[in-house]
Amino acid sequence: MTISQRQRLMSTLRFFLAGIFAVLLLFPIYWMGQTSLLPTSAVLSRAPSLLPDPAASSLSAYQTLLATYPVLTWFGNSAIITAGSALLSALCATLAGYSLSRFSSRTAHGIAFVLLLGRVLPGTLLVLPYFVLFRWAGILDTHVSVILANASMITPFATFMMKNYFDDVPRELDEAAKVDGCSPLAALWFVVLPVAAPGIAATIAFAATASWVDLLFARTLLLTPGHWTMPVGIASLIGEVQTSWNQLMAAGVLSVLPVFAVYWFAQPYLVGGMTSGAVKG
Amino acid sequence: MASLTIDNVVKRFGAQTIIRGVSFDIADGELVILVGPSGCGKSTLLRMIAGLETLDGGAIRIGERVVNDLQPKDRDIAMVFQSYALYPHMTVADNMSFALRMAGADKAARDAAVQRAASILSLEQLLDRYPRQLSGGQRQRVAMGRAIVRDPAVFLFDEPLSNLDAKLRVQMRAEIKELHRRLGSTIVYVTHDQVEAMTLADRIVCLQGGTIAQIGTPNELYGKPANLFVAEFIGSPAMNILPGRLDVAGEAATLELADGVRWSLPAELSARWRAEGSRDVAVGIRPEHLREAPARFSVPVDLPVAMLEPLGSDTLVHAELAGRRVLARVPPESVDDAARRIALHVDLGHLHLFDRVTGKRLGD
Repeated sequence: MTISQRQRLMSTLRFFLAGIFAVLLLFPIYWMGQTSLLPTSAVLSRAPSLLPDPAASSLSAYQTLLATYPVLTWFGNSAIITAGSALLSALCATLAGYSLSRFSSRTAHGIAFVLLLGRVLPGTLLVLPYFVLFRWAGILDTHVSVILANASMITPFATFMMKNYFDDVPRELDEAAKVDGCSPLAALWFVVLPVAAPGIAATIAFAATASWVDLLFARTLLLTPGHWTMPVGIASLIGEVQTSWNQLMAAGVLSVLPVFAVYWFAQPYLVGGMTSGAVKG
Repeated sequence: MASLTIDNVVKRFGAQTIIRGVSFDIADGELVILVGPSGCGKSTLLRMIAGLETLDGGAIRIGERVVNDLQPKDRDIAMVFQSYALYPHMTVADNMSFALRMAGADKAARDAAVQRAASILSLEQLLDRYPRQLSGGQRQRVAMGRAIVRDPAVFLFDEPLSNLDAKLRVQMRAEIKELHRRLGSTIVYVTHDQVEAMTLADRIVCLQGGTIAQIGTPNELYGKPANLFVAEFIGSPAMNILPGRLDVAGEAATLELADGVRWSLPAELSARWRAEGSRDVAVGIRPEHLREAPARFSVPVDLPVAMLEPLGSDTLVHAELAGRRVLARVPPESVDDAARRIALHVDLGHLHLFDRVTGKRLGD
């Protein structure tokens, strides 16, 4: 076998494996969409059609869902909590990540260790102390409580994400900015942050996704149905006696759309290349 | 523009002392080059002048002002980094005007300063481009433009040409020299390239292990190196160093090298070293002082040839003298490619002698 034949075979094999992986990842999403369009009888049939059936498909599950449940309220609550959690954790992670990247010291290493320790603690361990704490602070059953809880879980990992992005930004840029008249914070704002924009976009996307899908904190800390988020609302659709699967899947589709939108719009920033030409060349 | 004083400056990183009480003055408008091997502390010293490293002792004065505790922005300096450090998200014009923007200058003043610097460096056509759209040489010019725009008291250059290819380096070297002549600015320039140091500097500060090995003009360092370190560091190819012994007997002086090589020094030359007395020495001979033609004071030697390196204008002959490999720089026509031996003349008038123990220069 020649080298070019071998390369072609390897390339085909890689493509094939990537295809299988993509199908495995995308099938549940396809099936969710497919189920949301089918009538209940088709959903509960013994052998549901794997392929879309335009004749049987309709948007009735969506109409019923929106007419029966306060989906838009849940959606709005989720949007507020997600935006708050993502911005708060991105802000904290940016400042902490920059500090860890640029001001290395024994104390900084200690703080980094504590952050990692925070990351390994499961949410289920923290939710009860948070419940007690937020009730004491008088913010239980408010968006703020879930924003704070989410941010506390997201920030440690986001900090290390940002630290890695800042590590890739040449220190000479900060130094040039300082020589050019910037304080450390001004150097961060005017020079380092624009260069690290892909990192910030990735961190916000990560934080937003993690916050959007949170069920644990929202379910525990939000007591009034009017304050529920999408995941809590969707969970409430699963009845003890009966579950309307097509409505559940329709809610799932609506819930996934913003996540797609975030990644769609953030995608140009998620790829690197901003530092090209900054140093050497 | 301003003078710069480095007064007994010390820098430590942990337990390691990087700069050990270095002192020197730079006059207003002077171009001083800090040169030395990797790890000698030259870049650290430059960064201390810039305010990017703190001092552990001593003082740095720009003009009459002690700047030890001032932020970089308050020192009235501009720095050109080895890696250029251009802001990738800003155009060339924005890069150049950034410092003025930070200083609160209005747009008209910024534009005027950028136009002036751009015309000096022929950057007018590139002002709207981003760094990624520029070649290495253009980026280097923008980095210099960013410094010029500020009209600082002192320019600092940290190995600015080390990322350029050989041809561009020669061109940019000439441009920096021309720029210095034109602006009359005070410049501190760090390089490990001694050719750059020789061609650009008004004075060279040669650093070794955090101390000053010698300060002087390029010709002083080349012609009268103060010690073995400077002798071997300055000059390309490096000076040949041979162990030997200086024997002084009354008015006469003789140099004894290995393998029975023995040179009697003429009275005019022996006067230079008579006062040093008999001692073990290191004998330094520049490659161009192993000549194909006799000089006023020279001794003939017939050496086995190990290798030839034709450079075009000269040929470097790797030969053996007193049991050591030495380099001679001779005209290309004076050596045959197939030569096994070569007849040369050691120019005794340009010999350098160093104490073998202390490494210090002996004689004048």
